[in-house]
Amino acid sequence: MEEVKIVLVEDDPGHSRLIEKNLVRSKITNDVVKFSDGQQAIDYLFNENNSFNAESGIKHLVLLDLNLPVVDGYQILKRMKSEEKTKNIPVIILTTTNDPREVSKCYDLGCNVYISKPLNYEQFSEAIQKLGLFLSIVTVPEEGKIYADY
Amino acid sequence: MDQIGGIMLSPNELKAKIKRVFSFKKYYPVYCTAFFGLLITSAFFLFFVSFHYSHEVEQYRINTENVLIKFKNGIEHYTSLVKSLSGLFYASEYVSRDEFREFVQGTLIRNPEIVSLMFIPYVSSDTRNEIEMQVQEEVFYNFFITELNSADHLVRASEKKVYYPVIYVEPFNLNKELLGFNFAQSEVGLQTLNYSRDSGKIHSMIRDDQVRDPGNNNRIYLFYPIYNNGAAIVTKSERIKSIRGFVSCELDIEDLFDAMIRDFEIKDYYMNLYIIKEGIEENISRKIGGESTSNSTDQLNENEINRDFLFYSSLQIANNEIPIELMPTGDYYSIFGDLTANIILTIGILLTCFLSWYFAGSVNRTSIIEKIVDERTEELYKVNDYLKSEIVHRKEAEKKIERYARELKQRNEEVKRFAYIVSHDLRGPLVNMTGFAGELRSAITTIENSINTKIGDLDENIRQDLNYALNEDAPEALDFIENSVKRMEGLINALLELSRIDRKEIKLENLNMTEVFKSTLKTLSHVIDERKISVDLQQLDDVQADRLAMEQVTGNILNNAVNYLDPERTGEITISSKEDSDEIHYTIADNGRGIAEEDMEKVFAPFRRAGKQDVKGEGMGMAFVQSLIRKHGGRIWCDSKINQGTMFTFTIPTIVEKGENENGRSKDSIS
Repeated sequence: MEEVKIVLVEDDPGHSRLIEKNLVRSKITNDVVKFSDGQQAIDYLFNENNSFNAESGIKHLVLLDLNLPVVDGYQILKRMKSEEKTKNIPVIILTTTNDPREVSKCYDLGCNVYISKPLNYEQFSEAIQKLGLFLSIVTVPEEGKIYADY
Repeated sequence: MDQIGGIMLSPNELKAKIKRVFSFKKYYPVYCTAFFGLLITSAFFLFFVSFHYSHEVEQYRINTENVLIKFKNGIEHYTSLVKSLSGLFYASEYVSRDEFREFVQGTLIRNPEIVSLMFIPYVSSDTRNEIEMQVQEEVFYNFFITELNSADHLVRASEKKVYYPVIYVEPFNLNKELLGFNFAQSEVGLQTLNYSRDSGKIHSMIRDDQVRDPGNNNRIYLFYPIYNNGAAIVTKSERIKSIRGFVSCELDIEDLFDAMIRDFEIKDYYMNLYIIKEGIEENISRKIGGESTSNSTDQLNENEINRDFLFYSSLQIANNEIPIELMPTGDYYSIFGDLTANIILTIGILLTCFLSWYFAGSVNRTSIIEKIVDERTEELYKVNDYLKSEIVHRKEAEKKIERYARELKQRNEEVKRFAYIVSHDLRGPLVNMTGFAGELRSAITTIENSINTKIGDLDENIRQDLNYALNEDAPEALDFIENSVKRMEGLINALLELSRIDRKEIKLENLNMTEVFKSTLKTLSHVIDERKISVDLQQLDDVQADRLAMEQVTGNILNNAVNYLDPERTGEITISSKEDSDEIHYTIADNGRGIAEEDMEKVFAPFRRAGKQDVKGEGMGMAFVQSLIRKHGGRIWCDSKINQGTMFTFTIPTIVEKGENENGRSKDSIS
């Protein structure tokens, strides 16, 4: 678990901050790498020279917003799931809309979890905390799926 | 370039050429008519002329034969005349000069063409002197039997075996030179007389008058023998033995023919007589009919003679034959003088002209018609061109409309997308607002908890302020923030819902609308009961529509009706339906507070609410309803009077377009 690095791609700094706070509140202490636009995330995820590779032993988990400047969340998701190197990285879509079409589209593209940001703060923090709980028990596998014990 | 231009025809020249050729063809019937008309006319003309001609030839031949018969009869007249004269001599042994004169006087008067009538006795050399003396004693003292000498002078006849002298001749005064003339002087005369003596028949002799007017007049002499009374005259020798003499008639040939043709009916003939006198042929020409009878003045030119009308024959006068040639004069026959032929020719030409004129006229009429047809065709082409351009315009217009439709669709998409994006993106800040409001609350809670332990140490005033700020001001502010967020969320959700309705597919099924209204009223029953509203739900027509949509529609309308009633009077709601031609009208009428005239346009507009804002809502209800009704292909409108009531009417079409119609299955599943 310690090896899992959280990649948070979120353009809204408020959201980003709230997510961080709630993760902390739910005792998630993993490293969080934040990007405010899609291109930065792409650069990080697909850069050959960074430590991000299977051999380094560091596992990743991506929290991805959909509406992003430069490159949007769909494109990032699509690219991640189409490349061998990144397709096993779990992707959790964390976004404001709960439009059923968006949801199914994301699942079609291969996202692992879809969480909408509820406007009710309790619900929101609850969701993030659940996520934190979820992340604390999740093991990022070599291939494909996330195994959750609960 | 010039050369090419010279060779090639310009379009106009080509047109002109085509027109020339075409117009020749056009007048072809006229030419044909003229040609064949003239051909037929000339054929008729020639046929008639040749028919007439051959008829004329035949007629001419018959006429000619008649002429010859007349001639023959004429000749017989003279022979019989001579024969009757011989009777005088058979009546007695001796005929005196006076008896002879008396006998022939009448004959001579009736036949003036007779030159002379003579008695010529047979005189042998033995009886010559006796005869000469006898005549000298009786009448003429200087009488001799005479003959012509080499100088053509009459002299006393030389010694001969036989003499045939003229003893009596009448009329004497004109012919006294003949008295005593010996006809036997010439070989021809002797032979002729001897033939006559030997045969007992009339013999003739043609020769000039040698005595009175030598070499000038053609004379024919008819000799008839007289034998001695009582003598046997059967054989030639008996005739020679008993010959007494001859009676003779002298005729001028021309006078003879003139006399014969005097009363002929046929006219305009030329007659040629070929007289052979002592081996020499002489031609006498006569014109029959007409005015001139003079010799040879009207002689036809050899070239002018129409051989078809040349008729040869001969006139037998005793032993002499006179060849005759008959032919018409120039006046006799003229092709173009023939009236019938001319009439035929004239009629033919006139008819041809008329027919040609008529055909030319009909061709002209045809070309007038053609011209009219051309004009009409031209007009049609123009109309056609106009229609073509019209079609082009239509197509352009259609394209424009298509483009507009596309643009409209695009815009619509954009608007929907805009609505979606806006609603989506608007939520982002709200998340922050609620999120950080929540953070603030937890921060205040933390502060409160921290302060509560030390609150007793603080000054009363400060403690009260702090208490007020933490427990009153801050929560109140946060409440306002959170309520505003909720309100905003409601609006955003409504907007999102509206954009979703447009995307949502409707599923048609057979709906019992009475039941739909009933179930909607049931959800509102507590309000209806509470406010004692009377609802009149009539039996409604069924319709094919989306169940959820209809529930939403009825819910919204009834909700409005219930919520906007006039509190001063008992609420009344009437729900009815009416089937129109291809749609069903559903009407929900209430006696509520009504909608002001100026507010009517807000009724169906999103986020707009009419009248007093005493009822919760985002103002999206009727916008949803309108959107849903439209999706069914129906309409919705509102009639209202302020303080009297409102009536909503919506229609659902009964005829569903096939493409949308999936109700067949739904129907089955329902039944």
